[in-house]
Amino acid sequence: MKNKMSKQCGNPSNHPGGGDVFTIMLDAMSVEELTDGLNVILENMTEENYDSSLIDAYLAALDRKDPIPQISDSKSSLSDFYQKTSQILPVHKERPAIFCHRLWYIGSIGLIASVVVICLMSSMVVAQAAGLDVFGALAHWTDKVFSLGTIQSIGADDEKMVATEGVNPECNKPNYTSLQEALDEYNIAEFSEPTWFPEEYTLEDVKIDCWPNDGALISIVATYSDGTKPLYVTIEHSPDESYAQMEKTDAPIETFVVNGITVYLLENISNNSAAWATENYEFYISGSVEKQVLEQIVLSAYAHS
Amino acid sequence: MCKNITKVVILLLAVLMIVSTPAFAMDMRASSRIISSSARVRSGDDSNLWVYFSITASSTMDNIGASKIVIQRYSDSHWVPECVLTSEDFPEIQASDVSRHSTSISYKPMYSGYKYRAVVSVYASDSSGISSTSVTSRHIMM
Repeated sequence: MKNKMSKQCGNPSNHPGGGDVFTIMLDAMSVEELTDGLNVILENMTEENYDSSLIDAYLAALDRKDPIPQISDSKSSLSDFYQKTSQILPVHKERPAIFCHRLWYIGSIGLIASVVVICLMSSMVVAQAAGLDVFGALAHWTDKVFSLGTIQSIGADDEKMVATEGVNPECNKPNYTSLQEALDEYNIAEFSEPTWFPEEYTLEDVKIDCWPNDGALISIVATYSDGTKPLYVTIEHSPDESYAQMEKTDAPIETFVVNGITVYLLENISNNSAAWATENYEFYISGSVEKQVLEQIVLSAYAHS
Repeated sequence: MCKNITKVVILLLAVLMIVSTPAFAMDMRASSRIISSSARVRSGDDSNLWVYFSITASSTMDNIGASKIVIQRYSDSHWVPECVLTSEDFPEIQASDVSRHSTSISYKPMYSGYKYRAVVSVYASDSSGISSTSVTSRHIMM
């Protein structure tokens, strides 16, 4: 713009009269008069009488009277735009790349997490199907306690905790001289003490577990021993259902019948057991002896009948 | 990307297979130390829940008994643990240098009109290792 002014103010080549007088005359005119005059000149000017210096003189005069606001170049305008917008929203040239990378990262984590959850849920379903109460153990709560695992507290009410009492000591007389003595004391006629045991085995002790004033629990255990390994004869009162779990291998269970009662012979890793039941009692003989030895012991218990 | 995900999935499946195997094997395995175990409950005249358990081993054990007794209450169609009794509170549930152990304890339930049962974790250990199992009593209305 300044260059244009310099050009116009420099050397008007074709104007009526002297350049300075014409310039003063134009400067005296108002903007509207200059605009109208320029329009008249442009309308009347032809190719033959075209005078660019006259037009330039009018434009220069208009510029002096009503200057056109300064317009920056495109690069400086763009730079100015970035500078102004950065004051409001800080812009980083690398942001799009980081943003895409983060999206990819979050997507990957989400995918892996989904796979993990699916695998865990699948394994829990399998475990549940196998008999483990997985879903039932996830979260439990009472009126006072919540836990994602098992609740191991009843809350602050300590008074309701526990009062302990051992097996009634009256059940255990200190010196039973034989299993038969205990059987007789509890009027158990369905079974007699075996009359045959391997030679090396002798009676060690007889213990009775029971609940006071209650026939719900009567457990008589006679322990025989060869000095190192015990051999147990157990009689349990079970009027309704069996309570005991016997450990065994997957070897086939053998049976034999005595007095119309089926006796089962179970094989474990380092011991064997014989098990049978009557109407009110369960009987077990267990020890580190062969199954044939167990059978002989059982048969000796019923030899008298 | 795809290779990494495939590796992660394969690794997870391998871990799951390893972890799942003992769960299936646990019930199939016999015990070299434990012969038998039992647990039962009853309602006492004192309105307490009586829990009895026994464990019989094949030889004298360094330690034998119950590691914990979980008292469960049947509520909202599933069994909810109400209290866990351990040897820290009740040393009598464990014994040393014997081949058989049994005892009974009584527990005052928090609620009445509910079914209760006991899940007893029993174990037997000697110098060569430890055997353990869990036995659940039948339930009883308190």
